[in-house]
Amino acid sequence: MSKGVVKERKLIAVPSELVRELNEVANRKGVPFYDYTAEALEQALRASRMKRILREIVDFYAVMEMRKASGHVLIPRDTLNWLIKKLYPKEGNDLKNVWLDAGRWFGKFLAAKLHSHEAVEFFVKMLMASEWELDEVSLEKKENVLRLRLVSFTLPLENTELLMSYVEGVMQSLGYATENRECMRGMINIDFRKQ
Amino acid sequence: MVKRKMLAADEGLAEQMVRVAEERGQTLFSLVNEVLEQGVRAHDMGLTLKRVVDERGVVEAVREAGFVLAVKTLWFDVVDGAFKRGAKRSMLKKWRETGQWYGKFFVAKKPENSIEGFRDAVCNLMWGASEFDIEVKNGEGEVRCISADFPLSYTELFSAFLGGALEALGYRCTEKDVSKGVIRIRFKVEGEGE
Repeated sequence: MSKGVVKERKLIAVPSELVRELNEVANRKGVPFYDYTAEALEQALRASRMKRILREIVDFYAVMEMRKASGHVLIPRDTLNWLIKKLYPKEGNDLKNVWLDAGRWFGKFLAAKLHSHEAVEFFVKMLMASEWELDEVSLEKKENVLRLRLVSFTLPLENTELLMSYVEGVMQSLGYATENRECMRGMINIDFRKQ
Repeated sequence: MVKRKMLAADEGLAEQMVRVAEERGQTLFSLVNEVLEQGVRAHDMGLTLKRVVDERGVVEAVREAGFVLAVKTLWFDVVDGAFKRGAKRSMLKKWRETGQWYGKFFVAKKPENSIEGFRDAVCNLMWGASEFDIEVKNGEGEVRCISADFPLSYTELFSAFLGGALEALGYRCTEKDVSKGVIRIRFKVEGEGE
């Protein structure tokens, strides 16, 4: 404890296996065990103040790192939506192909980085944390069929259709063919079958 | 039954953890267990929990400012295509307006150091840029942006965005040099040296 100030301490029960692991980590970092665990608890409280849980924040970090590594950029949403609205009436099919190709590329990137089943799960997590403003993302598995349902209360029809192309591109590269699909403003239901 | 050990924690921290556990309907044991597990997980990723939580804060701020993620090649293709097919003028106007909006956003959000706030936000956004900086001294300054993968069209648009933002932040561009992937803008406080 710094400057000889002694704070009141409380004892908290923790699984002994976890204590062993934490001890190892603290030793490797050259940090006193007490300071290391205090830092972890402080970060958990910070997360709580952000109305998040730590597990979700660590998951999100992993998703963001993957997206940085795969060449994603941050752009103003308003500009993206403006451009889509401007181009879509005349070039909708071309845009869908661009989104489909981008999805195929990202699917290949995921397939190279992760195992096939992990890649699909990761992609679903990514959709939740993505730019598409999705309010609901669910994936159901029935034998060889995956049913993906995406809902957004704000996504315009053009963006919804482009999102569907992107998702189909990713899933194609992960070895899934589209079996059924339904798309309306802010809602996509797609069944994929493992090829 | 899981074997347990007792962990000493600062009393204030422990009390706050008890409160969070109650709010989440969890036992203190399971909450602390979960937190420490995430600490080990972050360590295995070569990170500290502080960095992970800091990064989340940055992303929240960026989202609050209306930014979204897009695949870079897709975005550059679409922008470049539209730019070359005759939408250049309206696109430059749109990017300039968007820059003005963000400039005003930072004037309202950080009135005492709005240009620094804008610079920090853009630095966080510029994952792909090898260099981005804004320097201001005695009412004059310079923006430098170097990003090898920006096509010329996007470089022009991004310079329009920066020009719009500087205007809203109270500056006037005095010199602009834009070539593929490289932007250099010199500026002065609006109304000075006229």
